[in-house]
Amino acid sequence: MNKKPLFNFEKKSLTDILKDNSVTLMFVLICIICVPLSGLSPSYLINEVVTRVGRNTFLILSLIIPIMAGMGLNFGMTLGAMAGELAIIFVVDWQIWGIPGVILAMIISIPFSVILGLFCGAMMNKAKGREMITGYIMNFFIGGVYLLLVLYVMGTFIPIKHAALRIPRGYGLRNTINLISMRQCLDDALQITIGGVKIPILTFMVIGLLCLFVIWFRKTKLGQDMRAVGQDMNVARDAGIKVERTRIIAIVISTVFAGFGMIIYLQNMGTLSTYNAHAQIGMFSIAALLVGGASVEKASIRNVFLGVVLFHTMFIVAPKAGAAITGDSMIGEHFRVFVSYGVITIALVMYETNKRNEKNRRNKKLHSAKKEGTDNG
Amino acid sequence: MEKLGKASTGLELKDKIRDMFKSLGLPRLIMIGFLIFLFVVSPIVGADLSRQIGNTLNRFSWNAVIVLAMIPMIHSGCGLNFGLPLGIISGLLGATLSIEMGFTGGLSFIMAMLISTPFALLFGFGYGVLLNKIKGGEMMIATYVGFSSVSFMCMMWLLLPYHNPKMVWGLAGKGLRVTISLEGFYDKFLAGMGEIRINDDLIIPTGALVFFALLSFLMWAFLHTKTGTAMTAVGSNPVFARASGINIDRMRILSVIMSTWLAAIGILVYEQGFGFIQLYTAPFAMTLPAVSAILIGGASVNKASIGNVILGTFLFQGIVTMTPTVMNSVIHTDISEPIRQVVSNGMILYALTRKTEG
Amino acid sequence: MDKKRTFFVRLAVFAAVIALSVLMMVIGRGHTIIIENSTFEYEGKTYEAAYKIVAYDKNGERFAKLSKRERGKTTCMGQSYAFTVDITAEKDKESKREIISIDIPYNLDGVIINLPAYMAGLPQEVYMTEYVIAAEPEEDSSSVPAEDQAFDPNAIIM
Repeated sequence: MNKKPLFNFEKKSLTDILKDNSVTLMFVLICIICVPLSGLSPSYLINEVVTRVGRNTFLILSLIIPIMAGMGLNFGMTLGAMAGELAIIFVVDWQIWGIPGVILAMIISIPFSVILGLFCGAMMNKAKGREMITGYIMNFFIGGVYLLLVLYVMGTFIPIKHAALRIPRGYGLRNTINLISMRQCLDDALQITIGGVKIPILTFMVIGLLCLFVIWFRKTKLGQDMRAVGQDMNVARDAGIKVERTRIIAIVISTVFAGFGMIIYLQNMGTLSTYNAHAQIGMFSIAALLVGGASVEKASIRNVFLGVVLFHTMFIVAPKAGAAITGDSMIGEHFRVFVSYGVITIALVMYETNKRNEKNRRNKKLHSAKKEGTDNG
Repeated sequence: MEKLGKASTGLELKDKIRDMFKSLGLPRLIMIGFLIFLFVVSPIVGADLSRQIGNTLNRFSWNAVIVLAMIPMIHSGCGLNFGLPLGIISGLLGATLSIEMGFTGGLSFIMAMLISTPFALLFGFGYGVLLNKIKGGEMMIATYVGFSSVSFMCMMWLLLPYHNPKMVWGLAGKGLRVTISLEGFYDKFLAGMGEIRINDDLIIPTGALVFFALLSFLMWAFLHTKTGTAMTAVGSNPVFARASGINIDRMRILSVIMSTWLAAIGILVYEQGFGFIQLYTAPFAMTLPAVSAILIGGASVNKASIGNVILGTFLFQGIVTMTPTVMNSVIHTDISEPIRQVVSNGMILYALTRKTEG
Repeated sequence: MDKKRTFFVRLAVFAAVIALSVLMMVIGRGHTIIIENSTFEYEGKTYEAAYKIVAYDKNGERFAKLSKRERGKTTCMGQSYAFTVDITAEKDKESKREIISIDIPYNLDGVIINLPAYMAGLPQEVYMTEYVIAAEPEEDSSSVPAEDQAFDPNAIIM
C-alpha cells in the first residue's frame, strides 16, 4: 500500500517545506507583526492565550478522528456542541453545581451526541465525497431543530423548573443563561500561578487525557481500520472492513468529544448564549487546526497545539492592532474573521488541487504502464 | 424534460398527470401540499388572504433573479453555487458606486447594473479559474470563497473612500452604513413600473416580474444555443463533451461568470423591492435560501430548469411568508423561523445525499 | 461465549455511568442557605434573636455577621451542611461557639434557617423554610430571534 503519497520525504526541498507550511508561516508572520502593534503587555497576552488554549483545545482535538477516517474536516462537530449545550441547560436547571455538574453534563451530552453523530454519519455515508458540505448544511438543519427545542419545547413538553432560565412568557429559554454555579470550576480546581500566569492544571490534564486517548486509539484495531478506510475505501472494503460502520463510528466519537469540548468551553466562559453559542465554534476550531499545519487529510496533536496558540494569539491582538493601524477597531474584528475564512479556503483549495494532481499522475502512470504492456505483448 | 413532454402529448390526461407527479417527486408534492394547505387555512384562521398573496408575489419578484443565478453552474456541472456572495458583492459595489457618483432615481439602477457588470465579470472569471483547479470539491470551496470575500469586503466597506452623506456614517463621515435607504434612488424602480393595484394589500409588481421573465427567457434561449447545449453537455456527460471537442474548462468559466453576473443583477432587483442596500454580513444570508429554493423547485445538484426556479421561488417564498401568519393565528406563537431553517436545509441535505447524483 | 462477555462488559460500563451520574446528582446538588437571626414564635412561645451571630463556613472563613433581624447567605453542595457560629446572646456577654449541622431536602434550591429556633432545638420543619430564588429581570425583551430572517442579516451567519 502506498502510504501518504502527498508527503514524499525523500525529495523534500526547502521550497516544498515552505509550501507545505505556508499557512502556519503566514500566521507566525501575522503574529510577529501584530503583537507589538497591539501594545498589549506580555503577561496579559500570555494569560489570555493560556486561558484560550484551555478553553478551545478539547474542541479542536475532536476533529482529529474523522480526518483519520478520510472524512475531511468535520463541520458537523457543531452538532456535538449543541448536544453539550442541551446537557448544560438541564444541569443548570437541576442545580447541579461545580465539577459534579460538569461531569454530569458530559454524561448527559453523550446520548444526544451519539444520536446526532449516528444521523450525521449516516448522511455522510450517503454523500461520499461530499462529506464536508453535508456536515456544513447539517449544522443549519440540526440548528433549526435545536432552535425549535429551546424556543418552544423547553418549558412546554420538557419541564424547565427555574424561571431564571425561561423567557417571561413561560416557555422557551432566555437569550443568555448564567452558568455562575459552574463557572471556571474546572480551571480553578488545581490552578497554579507561575510568574503571574494562571495555569488551569486540571483542564490541561483533561486535554492531556484526550491526547493519550487519540494516540492509543490510533493503535487499536478500529483505529487502524479507520486509517485504511481513509486511505482507500474500496481497498478497505475488500480487506473485509465494514467501511460504512467505521465511518459512522468516527463521526460519533468526534461528536461526543465535541460535546465534552463545548462543556469545557462553556464552564470557562461562565455564560451560555442559548441561540448562537455553537454558531462559530466549528469554524474557529477548524481554522485553528489548519493554522497549526494540518490539512484536510492529515492532522496530528502537534498541529492542534501549535494551531490553537497561533490562532488565538492572532485573535487577541487583531482588534488592537487593527485599531492601531487604521484607527478603527472594527477593522481588526473583520480582519480576524476574514483570516479564519481565508485559512480554511486556502487549505481546502490546496487539498483539492493536490488530490487532483495526484490523480492525474496516477492516471498517467497507469496509462504508460498499460502502454508498455501492450508494446511488450 | 423536453423529450418527456413531446412523448406524452399523445397520452391520456391521466398519464400526463401521473408523469407530472412523478417528475415532481415526493418532497415537492409535500411542499406544494403544504403551501395549498396554508392558502386554504389562512382565511379560516382569519389571516388576510389577499395580503398573503400580495406578499408572496412581491417576495417572489425580489428573489427570483438570485435563484435564477443558480442555473448556469448547475448546468455546467459545478454544482450548487454556494459562492453566490461573490456575485452579490459585485452587485453591492455597483449599487454603492452608482450612488456615490451621484446618480439618482431610475438612472441609478441602470448605472448600478452597468457598474456591477465589470466587477461580476472579473470576479466570476477568477472564481471560475479557481473552480477549474478543484473539480469535484466545488461546493465546499465555493462556500468559503463566498465567506472570505464577504468578510474581506466587511473591511473594505469601512476603508474605501466613500463620501456620499446618504451612505456613510454621519458622525465619522466615512465608512458605509450597514443599511442604506434607497429612497430617492431606485426604491421600487422595477416593481413600480406598470404596477397593478388590485387593492391596498395586493399590488402586482409587474415591472419586476417582467424583468425576471425577460432574464429567464434570455437564459432559456441561451441554453438552446450551441454554446448553451455544450454547457449542458459538460455538466451531464463530461466524457461525451470532451469527445466532441468541447473546451470543458472554458464552458465552466463561462457558466461561473454568468452565475456571478446574475447574482449581481439579482441583488439589485432584491434591493429595489426591499428598498434598502444591506452591506457587511448581509450577503451571507442570501445564499442558503436561494440554494434551497431551486432545490425545492425540483432541481438536483446537476440538473435544473427555469421551471424549477419559478416553482421553487414561489414555493419557498410562499411558505416563508405564509407560515408566520398562519402559525401565529393558530397557536399564537411564531415557530416559523426554526421550521424554515429545518425545511430549507433539509431540502439541501436531501439533494446532497441522493445516490443518483455523481 | 465471547459475545456474552462483551454484553456483560457493556452492561457493567452502562451501570457504572448511571451510578456515576446519580452520584454526581447527589454530591453536586447545590443549595442556597439563608441564615436569619430574628425572633421566632412557635406554639405560643417566643424565641428571642441573639444580640450578634458570626458564622464561619467549613474552611473557617466568615460568611455572615448578623445583628438582630439580619440575614446572611452561603451556598453548599450536597444534602448536609455544617457550619460554626459564634453566638453572643446579649450585649457584653461572652460569645458561645456552636456547630450547626443541617440536612437539606434534595428538592429545595434554597432554605432559610432561623437560628434562634434551631438553637432552641425545635424540629427541622419548623426552623427551616423554603427560600425561592428570585429570577433576575429579563435583560432584553428581544431575546427571541428575529421574526424574519430576510430582514435580519445575522440570522444565518454560520
